[in-house]
This record gives sequence, C-alpha cells and structure tokens, in this order.
Amino acid sequence: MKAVLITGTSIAQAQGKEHGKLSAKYKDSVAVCEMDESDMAALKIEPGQTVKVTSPYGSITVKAAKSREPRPGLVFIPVGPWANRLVGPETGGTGTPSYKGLEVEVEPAPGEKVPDLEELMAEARGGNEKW
Amino acid sequence: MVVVKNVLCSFCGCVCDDLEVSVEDNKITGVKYACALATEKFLHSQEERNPDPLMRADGGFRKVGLEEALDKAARILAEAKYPLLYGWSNTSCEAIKVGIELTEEVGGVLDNTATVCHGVGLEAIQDVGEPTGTLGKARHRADLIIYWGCNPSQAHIRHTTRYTAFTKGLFRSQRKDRKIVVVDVRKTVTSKTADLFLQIDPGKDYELLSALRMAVRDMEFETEAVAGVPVEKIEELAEMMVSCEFGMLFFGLGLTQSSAKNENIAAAISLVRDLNLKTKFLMLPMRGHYNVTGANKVALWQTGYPFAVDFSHGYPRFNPGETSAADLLVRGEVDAALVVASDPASHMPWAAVKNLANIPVAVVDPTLTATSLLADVRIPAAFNGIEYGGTVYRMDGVALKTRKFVEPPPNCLPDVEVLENILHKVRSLKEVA
Ligand code: SF4
Repeated sequence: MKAVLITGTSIAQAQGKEHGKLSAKYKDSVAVCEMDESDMAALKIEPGQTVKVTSPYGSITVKAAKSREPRPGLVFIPVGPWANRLVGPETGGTGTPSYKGLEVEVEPAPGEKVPDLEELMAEARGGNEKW
Repeated sequence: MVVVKNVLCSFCGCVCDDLEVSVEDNKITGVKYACALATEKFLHSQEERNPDPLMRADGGFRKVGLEEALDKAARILAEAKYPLLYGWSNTSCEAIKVGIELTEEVGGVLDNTATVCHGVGLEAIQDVGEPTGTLGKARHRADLIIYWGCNPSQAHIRHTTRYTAFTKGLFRSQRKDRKIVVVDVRKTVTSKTADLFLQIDPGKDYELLSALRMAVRDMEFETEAVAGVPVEKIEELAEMMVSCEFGMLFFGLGLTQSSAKNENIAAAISLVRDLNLKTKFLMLPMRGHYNVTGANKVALWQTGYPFAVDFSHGYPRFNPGETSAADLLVRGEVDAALVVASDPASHMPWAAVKNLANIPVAVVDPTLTATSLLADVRIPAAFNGIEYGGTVYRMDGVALKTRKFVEPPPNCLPDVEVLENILHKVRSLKEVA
C-alpha cells in the first residue's frame, strides 16, 4: 500500500525516552507505525503485527498501531532511530532533512522481527558489537 | 521531606516555572503541576542512569575513571582536522558558551539541534525579520490563536492552559474570549477543541499561506480549493485574522520540516507582516527542547549566527546546507564529533548516522543514548534544572534560571564543568604539540 509518512513527537515517545533510550518502553513507543483502521483492514493486519515500511532511502520493520484519529493514506512513525531509517539525506541547502511527507510503501511483514536499538547501532557501525 | 516550590521545568520550550517537587533523602518522590512529560522526566531522572564513564574496548565498553574519559575526549578533538560539536539544546547557556570557545579552539563546527528542527525558521528570520513577542502577550492580549503544524496536546502539553486557550489573562480571561484555529495535516486532540480546523494536504503549507495572503488582501480566487482546503474556509480564516484585535501564530515542525521549509516560514512572516497593516499580529515557534532557544541565542550573540557555525577558517561562517550537521555527516566531511546532551543517532537520517558511527565520537550526557552506543568515549553528566542550575531561554526568548535541588550521582559533573575540563586539556595538548 502506498502512503504518505509523517514523523514527529508523541506523548508516548517523549515519555519513553525519559525511561532511557535503551528501555523496552522507548522501543515500544517509537518502533510503531500508526495507521488508519481502513488501511489496516485493506492490508489485513491487526494492531501489534509487524509491517515493513519502505521509502526511497531505506526500509524498516515496525509494529502496526491504530491511529487515534481517522486519516486514510497517512501513516505516522514517532521520531527515533526506526523512523529515521526512512528519511533521506537531502536537505535542499537548508540543513533540515524532510522528516514529513515522505512517500512510502507499507506491507505486512509476518514473522519479521523489529530490530532493537543496539542492533540498529551495531549495523550502523558495520559490525557485530556487544554492549 | 522538603517541598521545593516554583521549580522550572527543564523539558519542553514552555519552561513552566510553577512546579513543586518533593525531595526526601536526595530522592525526588513527587512532582506537582507538571504535565505527563515533565512528571516522567523528574521521576525518572535519578533512575535509568549509568553514572560510569565508559570507553570502547574489544567490541564493547569498559568502565574507566572520569579523568581518563575526559583525556580521551580531549584527544579526539585535538587530533581531529574538522570536528563537529553538536547538541546543546538540553544544557545551560553557560555550558554552550564554553562549547563555542572549544569549537573555536579546535577549528570545528558548532551546531545545535535546531539544525534539524526550527533552524529553517531562523534562516527565514535572517532573510525577512521576525514579528515576535512573548508568551505573556499571548496570554494577556491575544483573542486569536493559531496553531499551525504543531500539536501542543502531545508536545507542549501546558501551552494552552498557561499561555493561550484556557488561561486567565489580564484582558482575556476565559476560553470564550479567544478563538482557536488549528492548521494541520491530520486531526489531533488540539484540533478537536479548536473553533476552526483547516486540514491541509501534506507539504502544501506554502500554497495555503500564499492563499491566505491573497484573501487578507481581498483578492478573488479562480479555484475552489487550495492545498486541499475549500476557498470558503480560507476566506473564513482570513476574516478572523483581519477582524481580531490581537492575533498570535504559533508554528511547529509541521511547517519547518515539510517541503518548502524556510520558504514556508518566510511566507508565514510575510502573512503576519501583511496582517499588521490591518490589526496587531505576532508569531512564535513552538520550540521543542527547553533550552534550544538558548543554544541559538548564545551562538548568535557570540558568533553572529544561531547554528551551523563553522570555525575552520579561524572566524565564524554560517552556510546551512554546507556547514549544517546533517549535511556534514551525510557527506562524511567531519572527522570526529563531540555530542553534548543530545542524540543525533536517534534524530538524523540513516546516511548521517552511518557516517557518525565510523568517526571518533565523544558523548557527554546524563543518560545512555543511541549515540552513546556509537561513541568511543562516554562521559556522564548532571541534569540541568535538577542537579545543577543554569540559565535557559524559554521558547519566546525570555531568560530564566534553573535551580539545583538534589545532588548528582558520583562522576556526574555539570556539563559546563565537563566542557571547561575538556577545553583545558585540549589547550595543553596543543601546547605540547
Ligand atoms: S508543558 Fe513543557 S515545560 Fe510545562 S510542564 Fe510540560 S514539559 Fe514541562
């Protein structure tokens, strides 16, 4: 399914980070993709199931969640290392990348694991590290 | 138990100054008047701490003494050709000032988190000026409040109860004395309580702002809708704007981070300027971190520029796109980084994170962050506004002093002391060389 991705802050994200970036609460609050009920029905997925979100710059597996307000075609991932896998490098000479209004593809990803923060950062370093 | 009154909140740019914190045996046991976000911060500030200085070793980290960690950070900076000194929005103005001195000393780039948030607004202000005022003006005088591309119900929770819709001001005392308008790409809790909600197509803010400028000048439209908003609604908002006594436009990242970026803010400033020919109108950004405004102000008065300040030529230069952190990291131009009180690994695009992961990085932060997992050395620090006091700037540029009310854990110095220490060590290293 094609959708427009908005990233941004949410109460859960802001509270999650105060529990520590390495906490389960943080991961649960930001490694999620909020979608409209009708979009979830079209993809035949339930809240809590994994979805793969792909932009022209990368893709990431996160958990689907139902958006509080109706907004078909618009998906929301709170700011964080998961959302930023999808954000492009271009700033158009302003310094600020486009965190909002990205065109993405959302598909069900049954059985796929949502990576941990440690795994994402180890991947960034290009190796297997233990912390 | 001691109850500390009138505590400043060091979380969001509202910097509420009326919190009451209970402290027992150096432990924070309760917070009054704080919103859900602040409560979480205050109650968890003493947990989830890792007060150990850490250094990378054998694919992991080992604990080291504070002195060794500070030495390592100084060496990383002294040996770099073009380091990035990044963060600064969650610390005190005093620490930022030392950070600027340090950046000049090592010929690097100083950038703060505004670079990926409201920085484009600051670029627009440099182009067209800033019709701005304080939150006090909003509270006491504004009869029209517009929230554009921001959602205070999630991000600045007490903004509406302290400064706008639900506050008791001098000349506006109740909700019905004010009209509230929300412009957003989606319905939000804030939009539900608004008198008028304009749902705009994503990335079309510039178009809508231009249409509003037309409507304010009574120009005719040859279309039925702009940016997904019917012309009648645009005219309705224009009428509300023109006929209000005192309007205030608050804008958020919905405006700065969507496609037209600085041009969006320039258009909004132009609209406010047009409105001032007919009535009184001001605007303010909804700044996120409690001292991101301070990070911009200190950089501005010390170097002439609010962020993305490059000292590699020996004097300050400012050229967003070239000297801004995301661009420098994406292009792999910086060869080391010092990250203070911020988490670029969580907030930068992946291409930037990958390059950050592969240069020497020193992190100064009270907690462990994603960036600290990429670091070569991690230096713990105390929390400003809890474990030490300093100057911070509220989102409207009002300077306030935070206070200390508990002792920090061992090894956790105020950022300003950590930075003074590193600066001193960098200077000694350079003298030897
Ligand atoms: S609104 Fe902001 S400053 Fe006020 S209590 Fe909440 S987090 Fe703190």
